[in-house]
Amino acid sequence: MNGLQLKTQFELLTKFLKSCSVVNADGTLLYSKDQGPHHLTTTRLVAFQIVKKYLQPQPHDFFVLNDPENGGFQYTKLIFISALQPNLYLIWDEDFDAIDFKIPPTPLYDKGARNEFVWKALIENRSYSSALERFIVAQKAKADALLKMPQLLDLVSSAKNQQDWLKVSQEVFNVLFNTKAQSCGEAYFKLAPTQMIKLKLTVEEKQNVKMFVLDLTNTNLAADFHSASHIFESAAIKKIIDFYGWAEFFNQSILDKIKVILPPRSIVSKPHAEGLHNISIQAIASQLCEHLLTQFNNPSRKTHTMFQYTNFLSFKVQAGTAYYNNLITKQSATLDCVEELANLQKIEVKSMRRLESRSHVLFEVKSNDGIVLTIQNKYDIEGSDIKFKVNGKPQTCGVHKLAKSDSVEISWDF
Amino acid sequence: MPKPAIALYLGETYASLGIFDLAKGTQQSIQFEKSVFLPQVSLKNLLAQSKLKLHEIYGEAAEPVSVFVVTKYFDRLKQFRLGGSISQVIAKGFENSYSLKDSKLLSLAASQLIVTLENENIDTAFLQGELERVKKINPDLNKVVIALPESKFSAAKVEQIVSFFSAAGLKIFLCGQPHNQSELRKTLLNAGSEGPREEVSKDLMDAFGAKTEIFYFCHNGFKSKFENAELFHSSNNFFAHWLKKNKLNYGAYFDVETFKFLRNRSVPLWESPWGTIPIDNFEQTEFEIHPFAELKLNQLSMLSFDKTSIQLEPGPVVAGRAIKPLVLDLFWKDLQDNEFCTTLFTALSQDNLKSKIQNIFSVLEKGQKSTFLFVSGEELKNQIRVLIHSQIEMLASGENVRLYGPLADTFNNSRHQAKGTFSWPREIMEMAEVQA
Repeated sequence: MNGLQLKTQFELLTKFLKSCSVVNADGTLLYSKDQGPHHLTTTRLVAFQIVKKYLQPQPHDFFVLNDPENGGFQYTKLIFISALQPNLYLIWDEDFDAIDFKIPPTPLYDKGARNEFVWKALIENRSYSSALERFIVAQKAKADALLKMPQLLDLVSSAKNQQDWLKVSQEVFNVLFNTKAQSCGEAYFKLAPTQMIKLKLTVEEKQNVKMFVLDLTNTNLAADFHSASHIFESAAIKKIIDFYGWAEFFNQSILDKIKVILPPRSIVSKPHAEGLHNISIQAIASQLCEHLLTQFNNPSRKTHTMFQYTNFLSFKVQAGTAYYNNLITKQSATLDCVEELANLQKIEVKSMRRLESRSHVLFEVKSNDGIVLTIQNKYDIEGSDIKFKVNGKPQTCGVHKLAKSDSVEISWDF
Repeated sequence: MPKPAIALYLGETYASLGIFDLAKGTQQSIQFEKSVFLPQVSLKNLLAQSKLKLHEIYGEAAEPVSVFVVTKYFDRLKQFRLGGSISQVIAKGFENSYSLKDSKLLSLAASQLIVTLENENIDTAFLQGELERVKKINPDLNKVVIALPESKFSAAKVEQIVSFFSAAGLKIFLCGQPHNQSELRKTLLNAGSEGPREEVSKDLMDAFGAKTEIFYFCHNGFKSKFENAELFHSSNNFFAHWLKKNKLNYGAYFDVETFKFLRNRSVPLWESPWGTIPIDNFEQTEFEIHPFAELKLNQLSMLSFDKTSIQLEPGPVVAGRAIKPLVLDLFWKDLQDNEFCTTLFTALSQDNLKSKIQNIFSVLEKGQKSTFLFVSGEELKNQIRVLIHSQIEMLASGENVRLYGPLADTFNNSRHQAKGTFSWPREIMEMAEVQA
């Protein structure tokens, strides 16, 4: 098979998944993509290794987990692992916002048969049982749809094709590596006077070995703001892959060229029990990498600038059993909640305008049951164009319970 | 007594027209059929030729004529901001914000043409002043969307405002649920697509006379009264009705401007390029391989195709004028055996065009530097087929899928096949007769 044919097979296999990785029995990454706002490539690899080590997956087994201290991201992000063939595993993640408990690596299906004991313990006796059951069944259906394509699975799981595919990616890596500058630089993000994430990035070719080294040795030890190492790694790797244009060929051949040095128990290598800071740390990782790569490739090398964190706001709204994810960045705003809640008469929109380069929305809670609003990232009130106020007062990261008649005002530059 | 009728499929880049007699019932064949590639032959030109033919066949009985239209023409608007000639009368605090779901969505209204009302305390002089202001910004302004919430504006006041703008010669689009942003977007889209619909209807009236009856295929069949937003789904709705008629759950459609998969399942909301719009439509999946996507050497010097289509004009090389090869050009040998394509692309049979296409692909193939990523045009074409058929397998969960459309034959394989030769005018005629 030629390079195009191999690439096409992996694209087909992952066609209907937004964020997923394909690995073989050895855990070699064959393909990975992250099309959502969060990046989980190495997170999914960690999840697979845990499942492989402790649960010895067999073909047609199907696992789930969400434990941020054991290969997960956050409770609401479920990671599924499907053993498609002895030499082929698919790992993907999907959000189910109602989940508020830890799921360790759990076998939901054993060789295609539902594990009734686990099913009962996981799904029954919850206020959202039926929605959770539908969600999990839909995820299983994704694996089942692929199992109906044995020809494709045979092609992708063939050891020879996998070797050829890794070689193709290696070649692509070599070609595109040479299109960008080699350099070394540092940037840091200060959380507090004694809390800093410091990244030294080296892009170099030594003795015919092309490498990226992300050295975080000078990052401080964790206090109350920290995440697992795979959280930082996944975001940094994603930025490098996108910057060089390797996304379509991303596999172990390229992953092996990115070395990450993380001091133990530091801000970027100490898992948080609920993964509360993961979104913020991914944003910092991504922005630090982008800053350095842009600096390296800036034609006027003399104009080195200090790293400046670009603020954004990620917040979740819960109204009864419905959840809405909202994100405002410098480039775009996606507010899922406002229109739907207004149509359901849970809120009343008092103002919604987009004038003079600024968007503004003001709504009042109408629902007697109230609304829960959670700001999910470390959001800098002072240094931001984004204003978020509840009853006229600016709000920061955390959970805000809103009662009837409370007002929420959000404004941002567009 | 004959009842002359026209079956017209109006795509983004081509039109297919047929003449038939509505009085003859279901057992008849099309009396005249012609397809044109719109960047080369205009719709007006096609209609003029059809008029001559109509008179040739029916003589004095050629008028009045009924025209049955299925269209995809409005998809052309999907890449544009709309509302350049539309004023919006809106309550203060709700200016220029018609979607919060995604700020990257296209705009449906021009912010300079907003008339903001704070409360009911407005008079004709105020409205006159505002009208003059917006007319100064755009003298061609001829439509107004009025969206005033009942909580702030009485029905009598809204009526007064409607009368004012109506008297000023503006076409009124009144939003029935101003507090509902998706309804407001639908009203804005109805206004924004009024111009193109009027143009098509005017061309038909000019060609076939003022007594011409025009029916567009909407959700439940051919209609003369509808909302313009419905026209964005005309061809999909038609395809879905064909699936229903044939008791099929799925179908895959192929023509020179789209490859898509349709599910015979209606959904109430349309995720349009301008935001969610409450309108029944059928679930469709584009195959992510657009026939008008450009073929080129990518940054790895590998022959590949873009994810999106380039401009519709001048079209593919097979149409004769273009020099940039498109995905459709990969299938040039297959198109030579397709009757519809040989009519549409008349230059396709010419030897110099064939050598031009071969030269273009030869240059592209030789331009590939890397042997491990080398792909010939033929391999890429086969790969596209594999991609499409694998997606069909996944979307239809292994069921056999019937292929539909003028290019369906080109994509036949052992499992998924077309039945018979496809002709838009004939399909439209059959549907029109059933409805009649």
